[in-house]
Amino acid sequence: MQSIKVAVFALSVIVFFALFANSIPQIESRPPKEVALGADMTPQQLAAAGRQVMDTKGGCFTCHSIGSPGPRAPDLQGVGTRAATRKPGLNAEAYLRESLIEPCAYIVESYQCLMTPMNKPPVSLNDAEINAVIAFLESLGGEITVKPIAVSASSSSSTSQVTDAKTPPEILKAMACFGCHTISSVDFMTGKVGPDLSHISTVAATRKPGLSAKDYLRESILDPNAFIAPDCPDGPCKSPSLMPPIFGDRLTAKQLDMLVEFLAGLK
Amino acid sequence: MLSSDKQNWRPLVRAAFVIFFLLILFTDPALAQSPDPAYREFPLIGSRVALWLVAEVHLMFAAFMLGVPMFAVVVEMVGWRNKDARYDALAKEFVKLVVIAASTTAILGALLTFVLTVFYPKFFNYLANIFSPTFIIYPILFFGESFTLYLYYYGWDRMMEGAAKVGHIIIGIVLNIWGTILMFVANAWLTFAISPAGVDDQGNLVDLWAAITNPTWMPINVHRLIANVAFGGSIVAAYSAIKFLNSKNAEEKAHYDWMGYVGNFIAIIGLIPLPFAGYWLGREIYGFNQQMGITMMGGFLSWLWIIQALLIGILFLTANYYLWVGMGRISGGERYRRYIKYLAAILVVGWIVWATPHSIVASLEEARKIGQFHPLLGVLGVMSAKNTVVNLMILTTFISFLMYRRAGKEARGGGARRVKILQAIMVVSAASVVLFYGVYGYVDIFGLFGDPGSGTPAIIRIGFSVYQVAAVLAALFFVTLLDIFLFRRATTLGPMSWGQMPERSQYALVLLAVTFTWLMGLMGYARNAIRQDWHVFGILKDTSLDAYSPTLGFAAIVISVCVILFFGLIAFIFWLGELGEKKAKLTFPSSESKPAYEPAGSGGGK
Ligand code: HEC
Ligand code: HEC
Repeated sequence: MQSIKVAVFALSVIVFFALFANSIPQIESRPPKEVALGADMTPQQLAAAGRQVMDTKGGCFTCHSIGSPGPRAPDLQGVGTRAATRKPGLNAEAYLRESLIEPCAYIVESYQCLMTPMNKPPVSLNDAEINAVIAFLESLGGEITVKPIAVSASSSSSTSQVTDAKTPPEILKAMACFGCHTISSVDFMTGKVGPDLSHISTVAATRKPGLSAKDYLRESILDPNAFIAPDCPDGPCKSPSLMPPIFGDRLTAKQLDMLVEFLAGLK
Repeated sequence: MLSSDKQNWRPLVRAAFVIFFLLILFTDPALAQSPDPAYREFPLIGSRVALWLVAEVHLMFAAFMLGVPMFAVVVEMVGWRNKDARYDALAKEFVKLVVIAASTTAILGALLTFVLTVFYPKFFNYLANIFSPTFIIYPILFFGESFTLYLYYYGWDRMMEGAAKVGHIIIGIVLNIWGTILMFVANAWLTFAISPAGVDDQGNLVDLWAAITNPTWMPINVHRLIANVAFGGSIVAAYSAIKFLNSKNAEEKAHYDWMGYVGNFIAIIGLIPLPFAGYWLGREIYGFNQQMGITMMGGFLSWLWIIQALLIGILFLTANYYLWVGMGRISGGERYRRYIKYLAAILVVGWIVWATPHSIVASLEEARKIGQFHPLLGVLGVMSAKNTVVNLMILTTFISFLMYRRAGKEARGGGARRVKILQAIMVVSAASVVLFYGVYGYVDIFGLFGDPGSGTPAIIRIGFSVYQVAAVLAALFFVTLLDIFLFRRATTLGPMSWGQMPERSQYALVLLAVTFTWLMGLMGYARNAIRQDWHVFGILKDTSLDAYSPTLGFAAIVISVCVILFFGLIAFIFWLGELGEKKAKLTFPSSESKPAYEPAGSGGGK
C-alpha cells in the first residue's frame, strides 16, 4: 500500500516536471536552409542572398547586429565603408574576405577573437556563399565589387542539382523561396524580401496585359526581370529584380508546372 | 541476496553472455560494416527516440552501478577502522543493490550498441573507426569490473578478519578503479562527438590520444564522477525510504531511517561541488567553440536552464528540509528550530534569483520584448548574480548540516565558546566575500577599474567567481575541521531515536531521487542538443529526418519516460532480488552504543 502511494507521488512529480517544461517557450532548432545562388546574379541579388546566408547557415546574428552595438561583436552597420581603412594594403573586399576566413588576423579594438573561420566546419560556407556575404557586407555603406560565382558541383551543399521534391511545399522548400516570400497557408514561407504570395492568383492575371495568370506566374519564376512587381514589403520592388533568374535550370518541367498550379490556386 | 551457492554464479554467467553478444555485434561484418544506408528507421517511435530511451536508461543504471561502490568502500573502511560492524553490514547492503542491478545495466548496454549499429550504422562506424582500440579494451574492462564486483560481494563474509579484510577492501578499491576507467573510456566517445580533436578537416584520425583527451573529456569525467556518487546516494536513500514506509516493526524502521540518512548525506556531499564542476565544463565548451557556448546558454537551449534551476532549487530545499525534520529525532534539536525560517528564506530568495532568465535571446522578437536584462529583476538575471546565490545556497545547506550535527551534543571545555565564535566568523566572512564580489560584478564601487559606480569590465568580472568559490570551499573545510575537533569529547543531551521520523521526511527522500534522476536526463539532453545538426560536431553531419533538435517540451516528455522506465525497472529488480532473501539481521546505531550521537554518516563522508 505504502509503495503504491510512493509510486503515485513519484509519478506526479515527474508529470509536474514535464508540464513545467511544456509551459515555457518552445523552440526547435532546425538545420540551416541552403540559399539559392547563381553565377548570373546582379550585385543586388547577390547581396540579398548574402543577407539570407548570414541569417541561416552563417549564424552571424548570434553575435553581430546591424544598427546597434552588440555585447559580443561589433555592429556591422557601415562596415562596407570602414573595411577599406582597416588594414593598409587591403581594400574593402579583401579585408572582408580576410575577416571571414581568417577572423583573428585583425581584431577589432575592444573585442576578443571569438569568430571561427567561416569556410571551415561547423559553419562551412562555400566560396559562392562567402562571396554573397561579402556582397552584403559591402552594401552596408560601400559599393559592391565582389562577383558572384557558381556553386561548384563537387560541393556537397550544392543546390545546382535538380532536387527530387515532389509536392509544391517541398519544391518551395528545396528552392528556398521561403527566404524571400511569404505564403500564409504554408508555415515555413515567411520571407520578407519579395512580394507576399498568399493571394497571388487574385492579381497575377492583371499584371501583364495578354498574359493569363498561369503564364505570368511561369514567367515571373523563369525570368523575374520580365516584369517587376510593384510592391515589396520594404516599399516598391527594386529593378533589376532581387529574385535570381536561376530557377529555370533547377526545376524540372513537372516541378515548374506543379508550382505554377499551386500558386494559381492561392486566392 | 541469492539463497544458494549455486545461484551465486548466475549473474556471472549472464554477464558473460552479454559480453559475448557485444563481441558479436562489434565483429559481425553484416551489422557493423554494412555499406548501404546511413540510417534505418525504427518502427513507431523513430530511431532517435529509441536510441535516446535506451541510452539514457542505460546511463542511469550505469551511474548507479559506478556511484554506489565508491561510497560503499568508504563506508566499509569506516566500519573497519572503528571496528563497527554496523557500517560493514550497511556497506554490504549497498553493494547488494549494485549486484542486483548489474546484469540489467549490461543488457541495456548491449541493447544500446545494437540500436546504434543497426539504426545509425554510419555514425557508429565512424566512431568505431576512430576509437577501434578502445572498442576492444572496453569489453575486457567490463568483464574485469563485473568479475571484481561479484568477488567483492560474494567474498564479503569470507574475508571479514585481519589481513583478509584488508584484501577485501583492496578488492573494493580495484572495483572502483575498473569502473572509473570504464566510464572514462565511454566518455571519450561521447565527448569526442561534442568537441572532436585529433582528427583532420575531413575527419580522418590523426592522433588517437588527442581524440580521447578532447577538450570536454576531463570536465565530463569529473562532473560524472561526482554526479554518480550523488545519484547513487539519492537512489539508496529512496530505496531506504520505501523500505522504511513498509516497515513492520521499530527495529526495521530504525535501520532504514539510518540507511536513508546515510544515503542523503552522501547525495548532499556530491551535490555541493557539482555546480563548480558544471562551470568548468561550460567554460571548456565556450573555449572549444564560442558559437556552441552561445547556443547552449543564450540560443535555443537558453530556457533549459530555467528548468534546471527549478530542479536544483528543489534539490537544495528538499535536502535541507530533510535535515530540519531530522532534528526532531534528536533530543536537543529544539534549540536550533528557530533558525530554520531564516535558512529557508535565504534558500528561497536564492532560488528565485537563480531561476531568473539572463539575456535569453531565444528569438529576435523575444529579445526586443525583454531586452538584454530581465524586465523586473534586471541585473539579478545575470551570471554574477547566479554565482553569488549558488554559493550562498551551498553555505546555507552547510549551516543546516552543522546544526543537525550539533543538535544532540554540547561541546565542553572553556575553549568551546571561542571556537564557535571563530567558526561563525569564518562562515560570515565567506558569505561577505561572496556578496561583495557579487555586487562588485555590477558596480565598480570604489572605482578600481574606472569611475566609481560604473560597471566592472566583463573580463575582470569573470575572475570574481573564483574568489567566491575559494572563500566558500575554505569556510567549508576549516569549519568542518574545527567542528570535528570541538565535538570530539562532547556531552550528549539525550538519546538519538532512529526510526522516529515522520513519513513526510521519507517522501522528501523520494522527491530528491526523482528530481535528481530527471535532472540527469535533462543534462543528457543539453549535452547532446548543443551539437545541433551534427553527429560529430563540425565533422559528421546529421542528415537524417531527425537532424533538427526537438523542443524542450518534447524532450521533457522523453526524459520523463526514461525516468519512469528507470524507476520501474529498478523497483522490479530490487523486488525480484528480495524474493529469495532470508531475513537478515538489521542494524542501526543504537543509543546505548559508544559514539551515540555521531550521526551515522558524518564520520563516513569525511
Ligand atoms: C561567435 C561570435 C561571432 C559570430 C558567430 C560571427 N562573428 Fe563576426 N566578429 C565577431 C567578433 C568578436 C568580432 C571582432 C573581433 C575580430 O575582429 O575578430 C567580429 C568581427 C567581424 C568583422 C569585422 C568587423 C570590423 O568592423 O572590422 C566582420 C566583417 C564580421 N565579423 C562578419 C561576420 C559574419 C559575416 C559572420 C557570419 C558568417 C560573423 N561575423 C559571425 C564575432 C562573431
Ligand atoms: C532572393 C529573393 C527571392 C527568391 C529566392 C525568390 N524570389 Fe520571387 N521575387 C523576389 C522579388 C524581390 C520579387 C519582386 C520583383 C519581381 O517581380 O521580380 C519576386 C517576385 C516573385 C513573383 C511575382 C510576384 C508578383 O506579385 O507579381 C513570383 C510569382 C515569385 N517571385 C515566385 C517565386 C518562387 C516560386 C520562388 C522559388 C522558386 C521565388 N520567387 C524565389 C525575390 C525572390
